[in-house]
Amino acid sequence: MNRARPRPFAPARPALAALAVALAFLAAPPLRADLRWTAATRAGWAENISRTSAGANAKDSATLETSLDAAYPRAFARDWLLTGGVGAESFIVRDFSLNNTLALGPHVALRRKFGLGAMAPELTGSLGVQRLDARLRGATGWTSTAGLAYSQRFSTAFRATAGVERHRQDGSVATFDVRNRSVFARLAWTITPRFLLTAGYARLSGQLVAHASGPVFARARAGAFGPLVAETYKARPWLVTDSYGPGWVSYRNDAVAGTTTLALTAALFANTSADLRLSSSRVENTARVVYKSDTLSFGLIHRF
Amino acid sequence: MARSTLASLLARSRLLVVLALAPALHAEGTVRIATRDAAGAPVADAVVWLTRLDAPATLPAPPAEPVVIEQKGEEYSPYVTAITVGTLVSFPNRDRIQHHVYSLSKPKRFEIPLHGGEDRPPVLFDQPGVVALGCNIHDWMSAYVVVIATPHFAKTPATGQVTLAGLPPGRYRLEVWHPRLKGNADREITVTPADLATQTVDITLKPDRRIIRAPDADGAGYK
Repeated sequence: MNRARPRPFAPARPALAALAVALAFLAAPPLRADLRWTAATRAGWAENISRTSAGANAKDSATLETSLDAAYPRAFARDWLLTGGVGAESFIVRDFSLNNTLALGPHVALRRKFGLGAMAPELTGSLGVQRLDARLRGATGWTSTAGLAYSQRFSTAFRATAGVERHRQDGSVATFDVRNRSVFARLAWTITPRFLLTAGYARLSGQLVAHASGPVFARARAGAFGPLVAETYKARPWLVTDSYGPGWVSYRNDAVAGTTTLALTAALFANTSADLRLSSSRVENTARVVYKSDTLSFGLIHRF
Repeated sequence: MARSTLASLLARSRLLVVLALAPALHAEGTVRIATRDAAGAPVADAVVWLTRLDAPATLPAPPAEPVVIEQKGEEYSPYVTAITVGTLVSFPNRDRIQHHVYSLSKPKRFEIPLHGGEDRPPVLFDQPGVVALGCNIHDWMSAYVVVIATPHFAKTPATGQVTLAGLPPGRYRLEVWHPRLKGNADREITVTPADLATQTVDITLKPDRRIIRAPDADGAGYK
């Protein structure tokens, strides 16, 4: 059965319960005073958000991301900083609301600094688990991300970061059971005390969920785009989700995605900044189908 | 008789001259120092000091109470502190969060891990020089302690001007330091009791490259 009915957008009870427990824990004295709250919002315009190589199927939309995070940092020993917290993130796709999601969950990070001072290199290991609530029934489930990042300032003006991440999503159907890994590198340049320019590249390898209209997906499976595409798409789990229109299909794919990001951040106040970010991705799946997706977004972030 | 009277008058007049000059010989000079940058704007947070070249400097006893550099609102306050050699400085943490004060500067290397609201014993700065402070948890926090081996010093306020009084007449080296000073602005000056001229010091400042404190959203990869 590859037909899924969309359902109303309502956070899963387990996710809300987990968030409530985590917040109650963090809000209890003496942790409350040391909590670091961060709120962020990002409005963007995403081209080819539907992730398709067929030009007629490429859908664009405005998006809105909002997040609230409470973290509790605690330094112990000389060079170790442990940060635990809980966060909530919502993602809204204005024109295709079936793709809206809400994610809630705890995260923990352990930072080891090799020496004293801002110039000392850092190694940070992180782990986050989230309950992902999606309007696409099959997508609702759990996600987890484990990462390791090495960071080094070369001066007060330049900071480089490189790392790896493993991501796992378990939906309620195989289409949304996703495993992938990424390597990334990022260079940040403090142009003035008010402006920061960041350039980054991330390369993801593994499984992704992409979408296609019903007719295009049927033609692909029938061999209209060649035998390799047909074999590949027949072998992948898929589901009619109506994600970007009636009859649209969501399918899991193996791919490599390269994403280049350029961001200009302006410090508005001591704890508030705004940024303009351009992100460009090129994805090639194992059937050698290539699609591109660009996003321009404006973000605001405030640390309380 | 006449000669002895004349000699007596001369002796008295010499004494009067000496007595008249005595205040001037022992008078202390005052130097007004104005700092300005390449654009002619006054420079705040510059430390200026005068070192006697004709005689060794005599340092006064350090303050009985430690000088205080607070950690408040995740910043050091004040940003620049000028003290004499032998001064104690305390670093109270007025925040509820942890800080970790450190210095890697040669004149005084130290570190103090501090929990919120906690005080630790003050630190003795016993060598002259510039000591850069940081926080090992919050990279943007920075401050400077300028440790000086002369009693004649001051930190410029927003006007960029300071007045150093109580200076024994003589030759001095005028030195200026600022966190962003490019090159040096040292010069030799002579202090006389009557000299109230302003020493204008033009300094070139490097661009401000302090680490940005405002949060930075991590660049997102493909999801």
